[in-house]
Amino acid sequence: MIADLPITSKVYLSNRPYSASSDGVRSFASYCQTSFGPAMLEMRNPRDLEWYLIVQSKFCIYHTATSAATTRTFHPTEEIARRFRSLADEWYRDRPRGDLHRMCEHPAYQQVIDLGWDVVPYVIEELNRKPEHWFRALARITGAKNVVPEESRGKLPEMAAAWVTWWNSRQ
Amino acid sequence: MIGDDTKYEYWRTAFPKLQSVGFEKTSSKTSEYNCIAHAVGTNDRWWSDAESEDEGYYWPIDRVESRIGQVEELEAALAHEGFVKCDSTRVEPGYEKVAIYVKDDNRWEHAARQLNDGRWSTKDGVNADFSHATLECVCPHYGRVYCYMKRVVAAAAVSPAPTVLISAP
Repeated sequence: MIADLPITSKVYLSNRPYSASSDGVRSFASYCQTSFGPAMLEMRNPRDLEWYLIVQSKFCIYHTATSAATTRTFHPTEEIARRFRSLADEWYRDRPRGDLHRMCEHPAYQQVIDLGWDVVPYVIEELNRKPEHWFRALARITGAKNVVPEESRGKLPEMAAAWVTWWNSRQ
Repeated sequence: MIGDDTKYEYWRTAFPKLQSVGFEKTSSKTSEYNCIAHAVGTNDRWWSDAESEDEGYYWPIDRVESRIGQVEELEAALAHEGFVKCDSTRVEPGYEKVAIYVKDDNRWEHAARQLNDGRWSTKDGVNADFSHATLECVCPHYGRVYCYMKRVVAAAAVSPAPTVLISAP
């Protein structure tokens, strides 16, 4: 049962009992809201029918409804945390020292982006600890708009604080 | 020299010509500003024509999407800050000069600021600042020098002539 999952888990759902239709996903959202309290449902990419559900208890549920949907499997997010730590350390160590575009093209950075919404809490935690250039990853993954106020643009500590505030306001 | 937190080994590898012309590290390592910010004299922001404004970086003009990362976009930003192209690196009192570097893909890679004594100051990405005697000694790591630009130094920023006090015998 979903209710038995550890507090931080990633969930892949099959097409059953939740169909790949938006109605099916909404039923699932409704079920989660009942179980865990207020939740936000976002459609990330309508074409791919990717849906992300963020439940108030920081319980992140990731639903990919595709024709090749798998059976339900659970991946504790410690795995994501470890993966992020390893990729972040690699990036800090090996990233090009030049301009931002080249830094963000580094494979380790791109792999962080590929981790999707699941990695966001860890990127935010990292920003809280040490303001660094994770903003492109956050903007790409979340699609969030106007997070950093005009007067804070380019000021790393203030940019980091703005993204942390944005994240906290969603919880 | 300031601090000891930059890996000189990296600099020696990246800029093999540095050692022979001489360089001096002039700041601590920081990710808080980049070469463009340093070149225009603002060491508290990271300037970037980032792919999306939503990343939150500072750029003084509206980005033109088709030229993001291209040297023309940087030229336009510096022009907005009062810089015009010039054809010499000769020190001109009352002016400050920057040099822009590009790589073969026409993407801007770096900018260095001229110091009063004719040397150049570079902020090396997320590393530290250092001064260097020539523009060429950081090539080809930063590509090649594309152009020079200059602007009038703001009155408040011009150092007054030193006052010499002569005491009576």
